Amino acid sequence: MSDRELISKKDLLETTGISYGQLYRWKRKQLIPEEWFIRKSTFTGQETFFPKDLIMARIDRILNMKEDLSLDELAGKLSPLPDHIQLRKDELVKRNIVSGVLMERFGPRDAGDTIYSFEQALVFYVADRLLRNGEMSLDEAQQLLDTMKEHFGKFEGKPCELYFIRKMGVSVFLLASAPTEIHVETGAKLVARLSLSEMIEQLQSQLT
Amino acid sequence: MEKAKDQRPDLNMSGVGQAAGGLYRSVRIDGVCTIATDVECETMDIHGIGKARGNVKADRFQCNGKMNVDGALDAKELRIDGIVRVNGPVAGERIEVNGVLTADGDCEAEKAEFRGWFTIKGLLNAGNVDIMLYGKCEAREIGGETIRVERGSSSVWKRLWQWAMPKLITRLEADVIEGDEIVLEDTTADIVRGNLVRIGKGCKIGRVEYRSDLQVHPQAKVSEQTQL
Repeated sequence: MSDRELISKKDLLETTGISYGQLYRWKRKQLIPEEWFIRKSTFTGQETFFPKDLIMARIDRILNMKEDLSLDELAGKLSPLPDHIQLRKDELVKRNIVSGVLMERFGPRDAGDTIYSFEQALVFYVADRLLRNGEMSLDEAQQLLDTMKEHFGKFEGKPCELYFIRKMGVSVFLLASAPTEIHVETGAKLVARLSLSEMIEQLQSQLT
Repeated sequence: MEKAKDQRPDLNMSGVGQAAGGLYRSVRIDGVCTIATDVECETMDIHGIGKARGNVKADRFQCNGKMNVDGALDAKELRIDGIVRVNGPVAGERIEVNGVLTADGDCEAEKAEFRGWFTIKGLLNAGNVDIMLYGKCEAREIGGETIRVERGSSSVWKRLWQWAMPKLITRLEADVIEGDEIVLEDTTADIVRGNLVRIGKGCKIGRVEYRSDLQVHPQAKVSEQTQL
């Protein structure tokens, strides 16, 4: 969260041309998630900031869809898991969403035109992200895929976070509903912490 | 959970007692009663002293007495003629407060009318915010389309007692007020941001940022103003 580019509320309204009223209404209708409102103190007092890439994509979508849908319908459309999106396996690799190495390892039996659901694609995307960062090994990726497959559905689209903890070479994956606070024992290392809602957004924005 | 609506029981309590939460059609409390867990109902009427240990969800919520909610309060129509304290957030379509509302979380509604006192520790977010000041009103942040703050009547006696009881001071205090159309009176705020802004009598504003129009009453104090 901390290293990403932020945009202040004032700049956001200026660049997108929306008003305060609209922004607050969208927040009430839960079109913009609470977690994106980041409050910081600046020299002019309290200011609200947003993760720039996420909020710009979201406002763009709202403005484009608003014409033919009411706000309530829109809220349903922006549901965390877009079920209507399906992806072909070779598409994922070609568009560099998932690296070839990962695909070769975990989806060799599936033919190139196998269609994955968004949830399956998300699992690959998350694994790929950790692999690319060098935080996780391929063997651990298998563990992650199993964990996500088994437990991710249980959150039913509620915001959740993935924790990756390692102690003395033994790795543990943990899925917890967000926002939550965890503390790990000394000697154990919290290798990665990923907000899955954010990953969903990112994957979505890469697809469109 | 999917009980047919007409099968839901009513909960009527008079005297002193405790009830379990759950699904009800109507809940009515006339004495001193506690609801032990989450409760969901069509109508809730509190005429005495009520306490809910969990979340309260109702289509219509009315309180003529005193009510404490430990969780969240969610009602389509919310009318408070007494004293309500909520430890979580408050959400509704229409909120009308003629008494005292204290909320530790955010307060969200399409239309919110306040005639009394309130303390909202989070964000007050409503399409239309209408505030008549009869006592000390506080919110960390106020946001919406139209925000109107007016001074209610204040009698001579009330003014006399103000030195002893700070709650009687008719004033709105907020860190930030943001909206499309903002009309303020007797308000203290650090920052006011809006499209059309009218700063009325008795306001003390640190900084106003406006887009199209700003009017400041001669008896108001604005330290800094910028047009965007």
